[in-house]
Amino acid sequence: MTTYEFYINKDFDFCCTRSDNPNFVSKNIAAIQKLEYLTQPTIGKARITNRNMIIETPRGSLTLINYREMQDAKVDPYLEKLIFKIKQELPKAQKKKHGKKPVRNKKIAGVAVVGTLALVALVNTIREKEKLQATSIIEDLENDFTQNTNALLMNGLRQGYSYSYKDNTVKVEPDTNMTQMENNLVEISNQDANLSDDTAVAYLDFEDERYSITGEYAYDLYYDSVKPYAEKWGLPSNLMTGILTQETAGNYANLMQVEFNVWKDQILTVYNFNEEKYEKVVLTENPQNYDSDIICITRQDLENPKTNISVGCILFRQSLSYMNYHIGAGIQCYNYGYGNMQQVLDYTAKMTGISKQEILADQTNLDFMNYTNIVNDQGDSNYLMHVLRYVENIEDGIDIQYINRDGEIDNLHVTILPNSKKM
Amino acid sequence: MVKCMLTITIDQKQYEYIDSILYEGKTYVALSDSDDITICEYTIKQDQVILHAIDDTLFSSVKEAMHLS
Repeated sequence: MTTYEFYINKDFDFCCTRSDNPNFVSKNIAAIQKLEYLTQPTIGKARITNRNMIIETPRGSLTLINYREMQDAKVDPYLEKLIFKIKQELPKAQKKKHGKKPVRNKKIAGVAVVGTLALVALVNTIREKEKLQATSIIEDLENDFTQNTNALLMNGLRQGYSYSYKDNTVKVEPDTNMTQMENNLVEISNQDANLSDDTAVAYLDFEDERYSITGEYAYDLYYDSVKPYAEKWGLPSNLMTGILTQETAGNYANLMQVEFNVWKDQILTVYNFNEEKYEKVVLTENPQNYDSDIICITRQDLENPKTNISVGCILFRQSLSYMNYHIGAGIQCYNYGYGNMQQVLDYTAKMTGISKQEILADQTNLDFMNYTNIVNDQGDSNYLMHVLRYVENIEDGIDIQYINRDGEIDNLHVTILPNSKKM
Repeated sequence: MVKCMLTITIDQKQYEYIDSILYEGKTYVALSDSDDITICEYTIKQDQVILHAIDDTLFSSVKEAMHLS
């Protein structure tokens, strides 16, 4: 099973690396979305050590390194809520484990010696009751485990040891996380090289068909409907109309070919650029299972063209985040999906000698389009070109808004032209 | 070094933490031993977790609130 590590780097970016490709680092929104994806729809086991939170889900095993730092640093409001939610999963797992036992009033009383994880849970409940008064108690208890853990554990913490938690036990081991994190930082700084380059131009084998019968039909019917939703989600209207044209050209009710079953019950966090806030959206047949702050969209809702377009935009942003905001790869990913694109990128890296991280850091590197055919019968291997042919004013390039590390709205840009436009 | 993190020990008997809630202004914890589950009120004073016995009526209410029925 793939393991993922989440941590905050020295620039206070929230980062994610995966065991099968430690050189590829997702950051900030992409990392949060990765965390969200991995923790949906269920969390199998959640375990908390002094520094780390270890979570096993059907989609992988993940470790939040120094999770308290993530909460204290207030990296992202949603991240805080997500960690809180994960902590809430502990009682569910415990109830499931002990669910068949009878419940009896044994009238227990006295002073208890409490394990660390139980203590954190008890203190969290106290915190609900007396937030202000409990602050000092929480700090004392969480920083000083002398009542519950022995001096060796404390010494280990001070001397750079870490704790792993398995089968209800804690093991004290030398801390290797910091070394690994330092190595990751080198990769991150390299990755930062090119996120937004106004001069980025690439060429592919396609011809402009914006003014073909199909293009005219789709633009006439849907461009005005696409525009407000594309702007809302920080995307160019011409690109999203190009995707709609390629998907259905307006000939089917499911305009953006949203695969409800693929995305069902995954909570997606997406930035609303109109209202300048994050929104949570889920495709579900059971809206009653979700909090009121989550926008629930049912299969029936997708029959509304505007809703369908809006969801298509949200899913495209998800594809972009999977591809580390590489615009070309994000477009292909909308059709191919995350798993297939990973295969294509792995193969491309092998064939070109350029790492996946480097490919995705360069908006003009479209080498992966030479290898999309390694995935058989899984989609349209030329989807990127098929979309680009319908993008109006393609020579002006594609601009996509995103939230940068300072929390400000920034711009990604690439121009992808037909080969025929090469000088 | 090995130590159990979910264990709550009282009078040399070990229980496993299940859940804790705030209910009508007081905090309660559900514990399990090898045979059954029980609930008691708890407070934290001077860095000590103190468990308090509760009467059967309150026990039923808290049990329901914890969805342990």
